[in-house]
Amino acid sequence: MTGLKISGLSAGYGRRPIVKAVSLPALGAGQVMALVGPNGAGKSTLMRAIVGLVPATGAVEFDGTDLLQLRLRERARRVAYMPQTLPGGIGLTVLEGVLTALRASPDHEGLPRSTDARQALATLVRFGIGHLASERMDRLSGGQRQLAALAQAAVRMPPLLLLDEPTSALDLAHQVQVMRCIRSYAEIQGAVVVIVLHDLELACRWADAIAVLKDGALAAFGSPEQAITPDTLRQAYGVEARIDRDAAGRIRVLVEDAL
Amino acid sequence: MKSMDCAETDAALVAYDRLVRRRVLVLAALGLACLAGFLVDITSGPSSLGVVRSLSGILMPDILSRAEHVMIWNLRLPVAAMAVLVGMALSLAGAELQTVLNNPLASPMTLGLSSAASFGAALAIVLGIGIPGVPSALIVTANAFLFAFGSVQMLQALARRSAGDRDTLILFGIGLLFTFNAGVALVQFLASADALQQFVFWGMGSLSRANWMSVAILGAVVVLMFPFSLRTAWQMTALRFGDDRALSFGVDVRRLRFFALLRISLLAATAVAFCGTIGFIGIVGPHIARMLIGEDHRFFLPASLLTGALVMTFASIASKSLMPGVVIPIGIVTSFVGLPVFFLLVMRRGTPR
Ligand SMILES: Nc1ncnc2c1ncn2[C@@H]1O[C@H](COP(=O)(O)OP(=O)(O)OP(=O)(O)O)[C@@H](O)[C@H]1O
Ligand SMILES: [Mg+2]
Repeated sequence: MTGLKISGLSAGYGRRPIVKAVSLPALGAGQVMALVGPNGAGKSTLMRAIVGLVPATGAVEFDGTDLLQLRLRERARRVAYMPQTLPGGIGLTVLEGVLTALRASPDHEGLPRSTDARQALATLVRFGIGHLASERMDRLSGGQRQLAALAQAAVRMPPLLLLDEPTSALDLAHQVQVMRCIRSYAEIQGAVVVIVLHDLELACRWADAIAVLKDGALAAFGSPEQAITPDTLRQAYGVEARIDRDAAGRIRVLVEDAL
Repeated sequence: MKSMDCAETDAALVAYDRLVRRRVLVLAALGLACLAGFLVDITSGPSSLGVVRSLSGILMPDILSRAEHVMIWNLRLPVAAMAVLVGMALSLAGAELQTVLNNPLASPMTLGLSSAASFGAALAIVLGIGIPGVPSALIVTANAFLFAFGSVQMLQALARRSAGDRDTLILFGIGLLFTFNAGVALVQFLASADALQQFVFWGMGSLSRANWMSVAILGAVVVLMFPFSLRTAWQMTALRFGDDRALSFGVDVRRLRFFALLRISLLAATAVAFCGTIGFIGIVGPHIARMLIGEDHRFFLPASLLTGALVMTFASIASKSLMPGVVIPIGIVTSFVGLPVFFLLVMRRGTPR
């Protein structure tokens, strides 16, 4: 089986359970899934559990192997992860930062290194920050840092890409550019991309499937139409909302009031 | 759009190549400066031995008189070599420590590592307490290492527990510093007058006890450790982005840290065992290196090594020439030079980027 399938995944910090027996139907190669939900719902924890940063039980099957059983190195070969928080104050240029992500990986030992810089740069160009290649990372704006972090995650071109709020600091144009990039990345590489978003309209527009997380459990899952309904929004976020479609057929979420 | 991307790519690649070349040049320049400093260090000193005579004495030992020979080969050369090696060891240890603990103020001295090593050494020197089975020539070093490594492990455990909170770590380091200083004071209190005098001088940090044996041992430690440091350069650079990110790149962070701390302890402890606590090199060296060359550890680590050697060499020259006829213990000189830099760093920490 190719793709990603999560069954009975539980994870937490210390004794405290955060993610509670989450199961997600299989996501095929080339698909993008948005993970949404209120603050503190456990979205980041779910991602960290998949990468092995939080102890977890259950199974995360990817292309037929359980990621949770893999050693760090094997796991890193398949998965790349962009954490939600951005590092600050690093005396490297953007290109060096992305190059580091490539060369620090144990898989990269012994490979020819002449093409690395080119590959790193191509990733920067793809995310629209080619012009920042020689810029120091500690002198970037918040959004630029986010784009650089995204490039760091994507540069190894892993078959499974986990992105924790990659667009939260981006302007309108970059939001669209990044989402388009991520989509085409999934399609061209045959990769699975899981992406945490707070912007539901962005999620509806770009994701094949949406999982709504609430208090560490799955509140809804399905296509954007199935997952984002007034009911699930009331249940997950505690808001009264209207779901409309605009002239282009895109889903509009209009929040009327918080309950 | 696409063709513009292409031009952009080529320009950026050229810029990157240029950057790498410039860094290699900076390293070469630092190396040359070290060599020059080393030569000046050899030719300077309280006794009257001219520059030309000193230098020719190194190249052709036969021309020297017996006294001159002793002066150059048994005093000045080992001391100058020790200055270079101690600078290298402490600065490299500081650089790695700062990355591993994600704290620009970390250094063997500020985190109490040097004090711990001093305490271990004091036990050996003054009270003759050591690890059974260790040959007596190495007992001081072994003790110093044991205590340094123990305290570094404690620091690391704390760093993990406090989720990398920088201030907690520094505070804990200060705690260690005071604890071990108190321990050292206690040992001094218990010591005989004779051992005490020897120890007080040692505690100030000085190169005057350097001999070919200690130079060889510290040299071996530096030469053995440095390639291992360099081998982890990319992983160490990745660690600058935080544990989570480094782990997701596939870096075995725990292993990386463990071996880095092992190297750091060995470097710091050996340096302390032979020269006592010499402060601030572990902060000033890496800091200058970072400013000159950035944080790509392929360049940052060697640069730290060289800046450490350079600063120590200058301090050694200064310690001989500040007061005519007197060699001030070098620890005092580095403190006077290092303290302002340290304060500068602390103040810069407060300003928003
Ligand atoms: N390192 C940690 N140690 C202990 N508890 C944590 C830790 N990180 C997060 N938590 C707790 O886990 C819960 C879920 O956090 P998580 O970061 O997964 O939420 P999230 O859905 O990503 O929220 P947000 O939208 O704000 O990013 C929160 O209640 C939080 O307090
Ligand atoms: Mg989160």
